[in-house]
This record gives sequence, structure tokens and C-alpha cells, in this order.
Amino acid sequence: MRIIAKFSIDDRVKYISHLDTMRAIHRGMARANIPIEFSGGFNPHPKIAFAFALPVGTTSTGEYMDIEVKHPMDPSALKERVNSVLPKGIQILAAREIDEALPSLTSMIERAEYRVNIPYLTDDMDDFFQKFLNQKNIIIDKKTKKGIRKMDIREMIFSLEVIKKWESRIEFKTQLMCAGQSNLNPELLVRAMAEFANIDYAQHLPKFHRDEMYIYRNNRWITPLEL
Amino acid sequence: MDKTLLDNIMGKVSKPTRYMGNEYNMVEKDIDDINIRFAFAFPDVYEVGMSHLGLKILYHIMNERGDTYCERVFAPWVDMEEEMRKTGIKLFALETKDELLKFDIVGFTLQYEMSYSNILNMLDLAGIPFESRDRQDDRYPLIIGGGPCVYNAEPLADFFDLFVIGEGEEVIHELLDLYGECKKKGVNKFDFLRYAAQIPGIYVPMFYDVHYRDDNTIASIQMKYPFVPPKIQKRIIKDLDNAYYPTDMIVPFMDIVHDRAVLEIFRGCTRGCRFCQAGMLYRPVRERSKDRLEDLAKKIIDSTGYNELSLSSLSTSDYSQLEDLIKDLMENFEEDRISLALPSLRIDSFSKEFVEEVYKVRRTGLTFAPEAGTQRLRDVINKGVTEEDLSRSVATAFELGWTNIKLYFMIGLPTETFQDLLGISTLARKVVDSFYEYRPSNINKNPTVTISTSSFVPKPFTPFQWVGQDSIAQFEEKQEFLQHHLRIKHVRYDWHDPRLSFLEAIFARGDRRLGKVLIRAWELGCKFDGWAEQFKFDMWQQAFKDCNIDTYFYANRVREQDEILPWDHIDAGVSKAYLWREYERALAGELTHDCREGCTGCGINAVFGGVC
Ligand code: SF4
Repeated sequence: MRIIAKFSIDDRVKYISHLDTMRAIHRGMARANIPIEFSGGFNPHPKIAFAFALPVGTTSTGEYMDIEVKHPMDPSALKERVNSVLPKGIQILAAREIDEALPSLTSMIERAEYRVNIPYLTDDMDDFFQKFLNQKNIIIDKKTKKGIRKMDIREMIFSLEVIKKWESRIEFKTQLMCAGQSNLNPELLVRAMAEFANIDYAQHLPKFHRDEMYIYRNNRWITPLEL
Repeated sequence: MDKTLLDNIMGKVSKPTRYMGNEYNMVEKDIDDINIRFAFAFPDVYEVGMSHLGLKILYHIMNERGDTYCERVFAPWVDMEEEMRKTGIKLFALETKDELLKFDIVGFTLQYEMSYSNILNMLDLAGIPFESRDRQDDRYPLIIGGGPCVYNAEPLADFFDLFVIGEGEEVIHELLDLYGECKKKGVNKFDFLRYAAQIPGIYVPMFYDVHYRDDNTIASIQMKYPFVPPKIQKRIIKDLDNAYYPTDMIVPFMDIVHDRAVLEIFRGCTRGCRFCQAGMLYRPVRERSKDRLEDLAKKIIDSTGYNELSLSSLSTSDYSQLEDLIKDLMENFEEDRISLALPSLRIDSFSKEFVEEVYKVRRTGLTFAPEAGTQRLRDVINKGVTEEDLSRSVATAFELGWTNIKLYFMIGLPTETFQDLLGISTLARKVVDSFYEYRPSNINKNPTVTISTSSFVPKPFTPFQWVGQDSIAQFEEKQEFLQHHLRIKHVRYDWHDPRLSFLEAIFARGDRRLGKVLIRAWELGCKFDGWAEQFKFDMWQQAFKDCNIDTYFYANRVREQDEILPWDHIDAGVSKAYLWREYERALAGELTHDCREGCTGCGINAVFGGVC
């Protein structure tokens, strides 16, 4: 039986790496005695696939995992049992059975939505975002294993809007490409903004939160839980 | 603590999880409900400290108490230290993120000498003065120490208010009871220490004076007050089977050094290897019963979710019902795919089938520790392993499909000659040959035989406590010799930095005069000495020079039988007469049998009556 679960990572544990998250959840499943299916082979591992690593330091209420269990069970029972033994700060928000025939979550997800909290880069941030998006290309330096590579991220930004304003900071919402090889980390976006505004990035200390991931299906955007 | 500030710097440093806390099973308490705030301090990074069994035991044992909240603190890595100093964040505990100054007691665990510089650095980062005499007012927490290095903690005597000698499970309660009482009554620090000194196993260094002769040796160690014992006797848990053992251990998020559940099956060792300090310090042998271990194992796995359980002891093979225990555990765990880790298992004592069963899950390398290259030298150190034992083990390993074997040796052992070193290369050759003789036909790989040497460090409370260590130049000559003679196909050679072993030798058998060297070295930037990329040997040399300390006197000098040793006022249970006898037998190349075959008179039974 295949179950997908949506989970959150809060402030208390936001510095754990993707690998740490996986380990913590594997162990939570073991403590809760969930009958996870194991892969065959020399080094068997639990069949839980995690969609798109959350950047370290980012909180989230929109993480997903794709779980294979040995025998049928009630997804909400899985949620309750696992939640009672997860570290504080990680929580399953919802769980649901999905069709085993569907492709992997990672191959279906195309976009992710973030909320980002930054200081004002200029006085009029709405106008700034407009101008920022009006650029034909937004070229950034991306660090890769092979060194620094130039990348155009304009096409990877689908929306950008201010949703909250405080005295010295704002919060904006953005939908970014999040698929296979083309995955835009919101940190790179903020870097590009800072560069555009001619401001030293190091002083910003933005806060990132991932809200949701989206799949395009039957001509509309849905969340994995709506599959 | 300004949490936003902390959050900002955590976004900048490597491995921020080290400072995050909030792991599963971390204990949370309301500080308004407790009387004693205790910070368990491990003077190394998180992933090293969290792998340590003593921390797990004491953390949970203290938190069982309603009046105490024990939190954890580790040495921040250099990048974190830099950010903390820049932003003015003081050293804090992981649980509440409160700074150490708010605590009643900071307890350091002293696992290895090369962490001493980190202790000073941590005190400094916490805003706590180094020396005990500068901490008289109750603004400062009590600084206490435990762990194997306290058997000679003299180089740290100026910095610590008290040391707990021996096993902490019982004495920690006595100490906390006393502290709680004294805190309520507002007793001053001196009086508290005076009462504490009455508890067996508690050593208050400032209550003793050390006098030196002109030749730098010790003239006397004197009690300053009549209320302290002339000798501080180590504490042990007589009934280990019924002693507290935690089952709800913290499960770290990050990949720590030993990332698995640990079950301590017994304490102590009867083999009597003459170089081994642990073998002498943890006497007598006490086992946990098989039933209790199986029960604990199940509870630990249930409460942690680990998929690996390691059986811990000084010498796994010596557990009286090992085969039954392992079989039972494997049976209980099979369904949940929990694997067993059996460090220091001597596979020559088991059948091939059994070994195959035990290791079926993972196929990493196997390590053997012959320690010395010839039978003669193995007899000197009383390592009861023959070449035949080793050949049999290695053959079994190859037959079962292993291709990676590591052999561990020490160089610079007493009486060692170049013949003994040649013995190492002879053994290496034989192991490679054995591979081609015994490997199964389906294995077409070549073997990797790793020879690893460490440099011998004479330690207190061993028969070699009187021995002079080889000089760095001698070690280097021996390493070069081995490099040359280990140019053998499929053999790799790696060795430890002898400069580190030299420092270790100085501090392991050091006295109180070395405290000032530690301060000077810290001023010169020494910290994380055990981490090759941080180790600043030239600064250490500078520190010794600045303090006018003759390193030869501490590391390389041979001690006389009647010399007063800096740790003579500590009673570890084994008698000095026994150690000297063993030293003489070593020089004569005489073996002393394992004392399970009959008491060899180490003296521990005289102290603890009838445990052996
Ligand atoms: S007293 Fe005898 S039996 Fe007990 S540990 Fe010492 S030598 Fe071994």
C-alpha cells in the first residue's frame, strides 16, 4: 500500500540536513512500529521517498514523503502513531493513500511555494518586484560541484508578491520551479534581488519557509494530497 | 540568551545541528521546578561527545531526579567560536540555550588528555575564570570533573573544584544531594567542598599541597586539612546488574561518530595487558546478566528506533554467555532488521558458522589488534595473543569473504627493537598470503591489509607507569623503518602523529606545575589538539619554553621505584606493588595469566572485598 504524507519542519529543528530528516523519520517509523516495506538487495533500506530536499535553515509546512507499507493500514492511524514518537519540531500534517501506479512524487512535482521574510531592499518593494520581474534575464552565479556556473533564473520564477509589511521587514510569497534538475533555491532568488538592488547580501538574513509543492494534472495545479 | 542573534550565527556556521538540541528523547524541564542546574560538558565537538556512553548514562541518571536538570554542552567548532566571540554570545547549553553562568554545576568529562585545551577554551567562552581560587563567590558554577583522566588530573588541579574518582552512577547522587542541601542553606563554597571531601571518591585538589625536590620529583603530597582523606579511593558500582542503565537515550539528528544504540555488557577486564590503562582502572570485572541485557536491548531499540545495537565492553569475547546472548539478540531482532555491532570480538574463539551468522548484515573491514610484531614483545606487554590465534582469525575472515583487514600495533613499547618492527612486516606479508590461500573462489578482488601504528604512551596505574617514552625522533625513525619495510603489495601503512603522543605522555603523567603550560598554550591559540588540522605543536613547544618546563622530565624519563608519583594519593584499587611486580615480569618477558584462571593479586579485592 502506498501512502503519501505531508509534514512540517519548524524553527526548533530547521538546521537539520535532508539526510538528517530522512534518518529522523526512518527512526520515527521504527519507534511507531510502522510496517515499512524494505528494498531488496545487499543493503536493504526502508522504502520512503522524500520529495525535494529542504534547504538547511528553512522551515516548512509543505514537505512530502511517499511511503510503502507492507500491509494495508489507515493513513490517519499512521499519522497519529508516528507523530507521537517524532522529535519535537517535525510533524506529519496529513496522510493519504494514493494509487500505486502513479509515478514518483519527485517526478510529478514541478513547483514549490515559499514565503520569505527580508528587510526592505528599497522603499517601494511592490514596485521593486515589478522591475525585478521585468528583466529579460536574471543571471546568477550558482555554486556547483564543478565550480561556479552562470544560470538564468528568470524562467524559474512564476510569481512574486508582497504579502505582509512591517516597519523594517516585509514578507513575500513566491512560486519557484522545483523539478528534477531545475530547482530554484529561494536563497538564490534573494541573492539576485540584493544584487539588483545593489545591496550587500550578507546583511539581510532572510528567513525562508516552504508552504507547498505543486503538481500539474488534468489542466490544473494541485497539491500532492489532492492526487 | 538572544535567540535571534543565535539564529543568525547558526545560519552561517558549518554543521549548525551541533548547537541545535531538540533531538528525540532530549529531556525538557521547567527550570522553575528544579533546584540544581547541571551542565554536562564534553570538551570536544557534538558528534564525538554524543557517541560517548558515559554522557548517556549520567545525563539520564541526573534527569531522573526531580530536583536536577542536566543539560549538555560541547566544544563549539572554531567557526562557531569565532561567531560567538564576534557577537558576544556566551557558551550555552543545548537544552535551554541558557549560558553556563546560569548553572550551579558544570561537569566536564575527561576522556583524553588532548582535550584539556578545550576545557580552558570552553571556560573562557562561558565567561568563567580558569582557576578555582578566582571563583570563590557564588556567581560562578562549581566546576567538577570525572572520567578516566581524573586518575591523574593533577595538570588540571588548579582549574577544578573537585573530581569524582571512579564510576559516577552512585556518587553523583550523593554529591547532588549534598549540593541541593547546601544550596538551600546557603552554605559557602569552601564549606560545601569540605563536606564533599567526606564523600568517598570525591577529590578536592585544593585541599592537598604538593612539594617538590630540587630534581623536580615530588617530595610529598600533603593534606592541608585534617578532614580530608590521605588517599581518595575510586568508587565502583558493586552490583552492575541492578545499576541504572538508560533506555531512552537521545537520538541525534546528525550522523555522529557512533550512530547506534549502545549496550554495555560488562565492566572491567581480567586479561591484564600491561600497557592498558582501562584494563587496570575498571577492575574488577562485573557483568550484566543475559536476561537483563536482553530486556534492556529491547527497550533501547523500542525507544530510540535505531537499527543497530552495539555491545560495548573492553573485550566483548570475555562475556561469560556471549554466544547465547548474541543468538538470542539476533533472533529477537531479525524481523525488524536490527543488526548487531560487536567491537573487539576475537573471532578465533568462535566457530566459522557462528561468525558468519553474526556478521551477515554488514561487510566492512575487520580489525585485529596484535599490538606488537613478535611473540617476545607480545609477552612483554602480556597481550595473550599468539601468531596462531591471529592466523586462524584472519583465515576465517578471508574464508568468509572479507577482503579488508586492519592490524593495529603500537610502536615504542618497552624493550622494543627493530627486530620487533620487522615482525610487523612479516605478519603483514603472512596476512596477504593467507588471503590468497583462503579466499573463496567467487572473490576475485585483491585484499587490502592496513597496518596502523600508534605511538606508545605510558599511563598512570599501569605496570608501565615508570617507563620513559621514546622521543619523537625515535618514533619517527621507527615509522620510517616501517614505511620502508611495509612496501608490500596490497599493504597500506598509516601511523599516528608522534608529537601528539608525546604531549599525551606529558599530561598523562604530569603534575600540578603543568597547569600554567595549559593556560599559556591556550593563550597561544591551542585547542582541538586531537584534530590534525587544528593541532599547533609549535605553540605547545613555545608554551613549555615560556613556562620553563622540561618536557623530557615528564615524557621520556624513567622513574625510580620509590619515586612519589603525582597520582600516589589516588587509590585506583590496584596496588603499586602489583604494578611494580608486573613491570618486572614484563622486563623479564614473563606472562601473567588472565585472572579468571586464578587471582594474580592486583589488590582490588582487598579494597572492595569479595567482588572478584
Ligand atoms: S583481585 Fe585478582 S581476580 Fe580480582 S581483578 Fe585483581 S587479579 Fe583479577
